[in-house]
Amino acid sequence: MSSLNLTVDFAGHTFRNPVTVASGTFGSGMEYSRYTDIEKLGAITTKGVSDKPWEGNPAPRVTETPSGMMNAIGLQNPGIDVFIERDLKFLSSCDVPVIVNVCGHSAEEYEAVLERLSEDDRVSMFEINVSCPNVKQGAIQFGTDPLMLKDITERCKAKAGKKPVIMKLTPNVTSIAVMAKAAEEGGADGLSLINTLTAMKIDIYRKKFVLANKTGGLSGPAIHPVAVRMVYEASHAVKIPVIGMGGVASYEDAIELMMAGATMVAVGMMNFTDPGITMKIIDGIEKYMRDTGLDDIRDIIGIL
Amino acid sequence: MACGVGVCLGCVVKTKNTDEHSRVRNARICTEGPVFAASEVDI
Ligand SMILES: Cc1cc2nc3c(=O)[nH]c(=O)nc-3n(C[C@H](O)[C@H](O)[C@H](O)COP(=O)(O)O)c2cc1C
Ligand code: FES
Repeated sequence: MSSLNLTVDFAGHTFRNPVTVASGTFGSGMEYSRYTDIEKLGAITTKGVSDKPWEGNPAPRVTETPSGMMNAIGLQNPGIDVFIERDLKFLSSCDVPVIVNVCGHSAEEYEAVLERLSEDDRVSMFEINVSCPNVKQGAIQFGTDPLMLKDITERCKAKAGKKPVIMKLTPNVTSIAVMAKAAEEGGADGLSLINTLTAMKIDIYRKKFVLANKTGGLSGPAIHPVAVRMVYEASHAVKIPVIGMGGVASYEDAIELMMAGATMVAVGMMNFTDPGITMKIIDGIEKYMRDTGLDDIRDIIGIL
Repeated sequence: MACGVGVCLGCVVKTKNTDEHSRVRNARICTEGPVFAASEVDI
């Protein structure tokens, strides 16, 4: 039997397989390491971290929807000090590359986090969240205006040292290709998409919004076809590589995003449904390769 | 409750004091709870 190549190259790094996890759905791996072999992942992408602790939004923060869920966590996180002391310390005891997701209300806040980690050997790449629909100030504005996106990309690149900077894009825009190009012009080394779609749910008996934040971000299998379309449009508009995500629930979904143009794929909400889903997806990709006579996974990236 | 294991931060309850894990005034019901001392939470 010929040996299969599952490794992929992304922004100067080689990852052992194309499967990572979507920020905010896996913490820093501490909890899920009890249920799954996190060292088999291509990489771990951590929950968004800011320069100071963030309280996040009031509860209720989550609700189930057909084939998915809505969340308005509001990027609650303990801040960069605790992240370095606790989360990165844990991750440095694991044999798995780390992609650190960064959030902020202002350019200065993103820069403050990047400065702390730019020389840290435990970090492979940065993913900059300019696309959270649940934070009023900053965040999503950077991701919906091409000029602001280019500017914040440049500023993040300037503080990231030698580490690649991936801009995480929101689907809540008219043209994802325009945003993808803006990030590339700003010097981004890669893109990741999609973040959640802004949504709303009303309790008709209580006559109230279900989420305290009124709106929330929709994720899960319900958004997968939107993700395929946007990954296709974004990856064809730029030369930099893309991490595709949105409702990945099976190896078929992962392969679909790769054919649409993603070099890597992130599994998000489905970790909640099945903590072992990432292992099944990695095994499934291998099975697909064997079944279809594909020796090198890189040969299917962006074939459409 | 979305993840039930402490990663999503979807289940939190406001706390009187800073929570040891989250470092803000929110505790995860699935992990630090579900039972809290009434004096520790804001409900
Ligand atoms: C509970 C929850 C928390 C999330 N937190 C973050 C976050 O901190 N930073 C971020 O960039 N994206 C965050 N996301 C968005 C996901 O990373 C992902 O882009 C989105 O959920 C789509 O993928 P999925 O359908 O596979 O979940 C979060 C999503 C969920 C469901
Ligand atoms: S249900 Fe996810 S943190 Fe409690």
